[in-house]
Amino acid sequence: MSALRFRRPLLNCVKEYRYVSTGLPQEDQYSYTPQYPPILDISHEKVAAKKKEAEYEAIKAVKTVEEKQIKLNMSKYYGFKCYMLLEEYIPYNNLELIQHVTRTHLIRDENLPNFYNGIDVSSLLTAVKNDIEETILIEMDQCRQKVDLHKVQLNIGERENIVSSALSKQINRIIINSMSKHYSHIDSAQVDFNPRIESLWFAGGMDPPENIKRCKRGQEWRKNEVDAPTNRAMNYIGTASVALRSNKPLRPILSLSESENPDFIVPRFKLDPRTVGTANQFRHIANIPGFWPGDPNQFGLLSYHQRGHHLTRHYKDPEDNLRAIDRQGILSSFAWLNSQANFLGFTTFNDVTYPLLTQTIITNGQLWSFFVYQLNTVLIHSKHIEDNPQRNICWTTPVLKLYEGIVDGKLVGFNDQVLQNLLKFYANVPEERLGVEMRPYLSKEEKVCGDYQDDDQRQWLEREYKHLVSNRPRHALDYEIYAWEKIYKIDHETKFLDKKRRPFEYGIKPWNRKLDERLPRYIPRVHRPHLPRWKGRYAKEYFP
Amino acid sequence: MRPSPHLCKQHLGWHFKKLWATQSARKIRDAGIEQKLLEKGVPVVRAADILWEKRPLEKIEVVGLKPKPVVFDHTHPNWHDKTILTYRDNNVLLKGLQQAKILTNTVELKQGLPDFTLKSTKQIDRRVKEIILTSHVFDAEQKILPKVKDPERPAWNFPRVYGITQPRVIKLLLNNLLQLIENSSDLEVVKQRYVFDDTHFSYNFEKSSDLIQFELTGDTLLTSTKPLPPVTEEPTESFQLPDIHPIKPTITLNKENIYEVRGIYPISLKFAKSHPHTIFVPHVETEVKNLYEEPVTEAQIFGRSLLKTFTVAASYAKEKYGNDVTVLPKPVVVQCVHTNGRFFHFGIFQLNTLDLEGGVKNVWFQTGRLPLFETCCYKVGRPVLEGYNNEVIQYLDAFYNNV
Repeated sequence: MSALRFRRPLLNCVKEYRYVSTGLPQEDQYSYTPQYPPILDISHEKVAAKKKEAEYEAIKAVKTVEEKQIKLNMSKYYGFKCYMLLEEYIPYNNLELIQHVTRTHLIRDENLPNFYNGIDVSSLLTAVKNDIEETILIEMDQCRQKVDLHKVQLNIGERENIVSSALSKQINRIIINSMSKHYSHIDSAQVDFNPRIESLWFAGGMDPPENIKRCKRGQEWRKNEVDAPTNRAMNYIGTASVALRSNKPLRPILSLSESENPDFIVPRFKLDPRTVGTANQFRHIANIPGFWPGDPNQFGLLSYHQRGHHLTRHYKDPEDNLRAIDRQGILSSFAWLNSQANFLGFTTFNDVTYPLLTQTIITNGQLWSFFVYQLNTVLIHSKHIEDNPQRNICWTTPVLKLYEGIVDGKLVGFNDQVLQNLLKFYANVPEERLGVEMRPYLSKEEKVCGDYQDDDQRQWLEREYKHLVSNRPRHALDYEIYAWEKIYKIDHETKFLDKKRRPFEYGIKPWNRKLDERLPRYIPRVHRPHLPRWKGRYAKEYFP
Repeated sequence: MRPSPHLCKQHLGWHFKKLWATQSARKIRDAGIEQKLLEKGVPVVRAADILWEKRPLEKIEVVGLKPKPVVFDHTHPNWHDKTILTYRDNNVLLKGLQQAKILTNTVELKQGLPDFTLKSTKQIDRRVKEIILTSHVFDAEQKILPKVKDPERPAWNFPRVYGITQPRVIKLLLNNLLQLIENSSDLEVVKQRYVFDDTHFSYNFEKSSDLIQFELTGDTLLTSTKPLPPVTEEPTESFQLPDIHPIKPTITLNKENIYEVRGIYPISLKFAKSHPHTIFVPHVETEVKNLYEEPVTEAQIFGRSLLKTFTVAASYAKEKYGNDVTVLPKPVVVQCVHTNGRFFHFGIFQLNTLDLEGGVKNVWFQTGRLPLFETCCYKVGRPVLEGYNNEVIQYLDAFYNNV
């Protein structure tokens, strides 16, 4: 382990005071009007904000998708403290929090937005209706058998999920079979089953936790910002039972300027998310929409989600149960779109320059909820929670029943409206955005690491990126200040005569380790290129 | 020493310990009192019997204790004295295809499949290559994969790789290839088909006084509104079954005493699309193993295909024609695609009879193991697909469209 990382403050000082002198030619030293340098606000807040701005610009300047994701993680070797937002775990009263951290305005309506009125699906409806009725009867009959045959102990939610995932797949297959001949976007769409969807973004505007307040109270220059709202890393992990992707994005419903309408109210949630049941974990930033960078089908069309976990929530509040469905729809749509946006070169610090759309369905076979989500902004951290005029919009229908029940082997009360909504989702044709720069923050030649010419660099980057986002547990235990040290050395200085041995006694913070503070790979002498010993010993690292 | 307070101090604890030790070692000598009293006719009784009342131990039922673990011996509710021989998803036969033919009374009339019209287009090939890359390389699952071992350096431990597990690769590949074939086939044919995921079959029979049961779990089944027509009308009595003497044909079938005899065909025949058409059998290399730690050979994989297809066909025939049928009125034909994500093995099975000791025999056609590609992985940081073979998609397409 290199001791260099303990000497970081020293290294930084050396870097700052290195200067280069250039001689200006005679003519450039004079001008007619005085060229004053800009007056900078040297208060602590403004200087810190400026430093952060420079970091965000540096992330924007990185060329490829994987390198941007690595650079986002650069400041924390051991990972960020994340607030885990899981698909299956919906605590009580979670909708306000989710709307605040995703900056979503929710529009509840009986029908889908007016945009869908222009899509005609009457012929499709007649084509698929019989097949879908037959499918429901078959799956309901067969699934009961499956669960009994496997003899596995399943709770009521898991049992329902088996049925709903089977039905989602079958209905998806039937609709694609009917539509693929006439709709080329369905023919070439990529179908995913249980894709891995992870997303991390920073959300601000919430009261600081007690440990941050204590830290600021102890520092003179930050005493007046003790109660200022802080950012929190919100991490989503979830999956869809079926997801469709294509190589072109869906058309947006509202333009960016229309989404700035202040009538689109987003509730403010000022408390720490832990007050509504969210837990913490230390993880690296991973934005994964179900595939690796380099896959041509980058834009999501629609996704089916399961709702078995709602059966195991026992809060005895029917209104909260309905809000929980909305929460699941908003969160999964935003997270999938955020991770897609990260693969296009945007990040939580560099906002999207055009809107993205996705369609989400939450179903258990009989009960269906439809969500249309337009992502206009991902900038929700720091002051942007107040300043950002953009809002993300989510349109949702109430929970609809596809059929009332099954009597004597026949479906009763089939609802055409639900099937129509579903077919409209499929028939929504994605189009290329003309005149819009789709990947403005990626380089022209190299969009992903696979485009680099240097073999060594490509291999290094692919390996490092995959290892980082796998969030594998570490073998070595983390550095720890023991409880007795906290009491007898830090909080109350009782051991002042003891020899200083531990890093914290020298003001060193081992947690402040950057991602690149590590020894590179050692090259055995046999494999080294022909270089002097001190140059060839370690392999080259390609941190962005 | 002068008699000071220090000298006279006694450690009370030490003295206490010494006294305890001596008293505990003290033996009670028999003074002969009891004998003398009994001689004089005085009754002698133990003090404990009078002072303390005898109470029998009560057994108390405690609610909420963990249930006792199930013991797998003759007390198990499913115990039978007669041993059953089972074939499930994780074992393979010793002699592979030959042994499977003896067990299922099957012959191969000719090498290879019966004549099929195979067609391919450049567009479909391009799409198949995309699908291979999607299922092997671009899916974002990161689970720990089985250890990589080099047989020439058995002690060397390679770093553990995280990636897509083989069951998921097979599932994604098959689903995407099926969807592609359905998109490029006629709508009439597609309307006749249904894809069942996670099907469960079970067929049991008696052969030379051995009870045998074949089971299939978790496979994809393609069904159709019409059963497949018989492939061949040739009489099969004259063909001989292979001889693997001195090996018994029931070797390497699991012997079990705790079993449930079940005959399961998963789809109710009241539905139109219940006739089996093609079974897709996944070969997950970590689960399918020999008992004796040798690698699985090609013949054993062929045998596995045959047994699985036989199970599907036989359980369907039993459901349709009843338990007592021997020679079927109309032969049942089931196709089989057996894959491990890279190698594909195609087979067609015609079930002529359920009497596995009779003269009429069942028929099996098969190809060899066809690779879909040579390598598909990240090579030096780039996703690479090498050695694509377009035969596989042609066979799959032909199988799907076989009416």
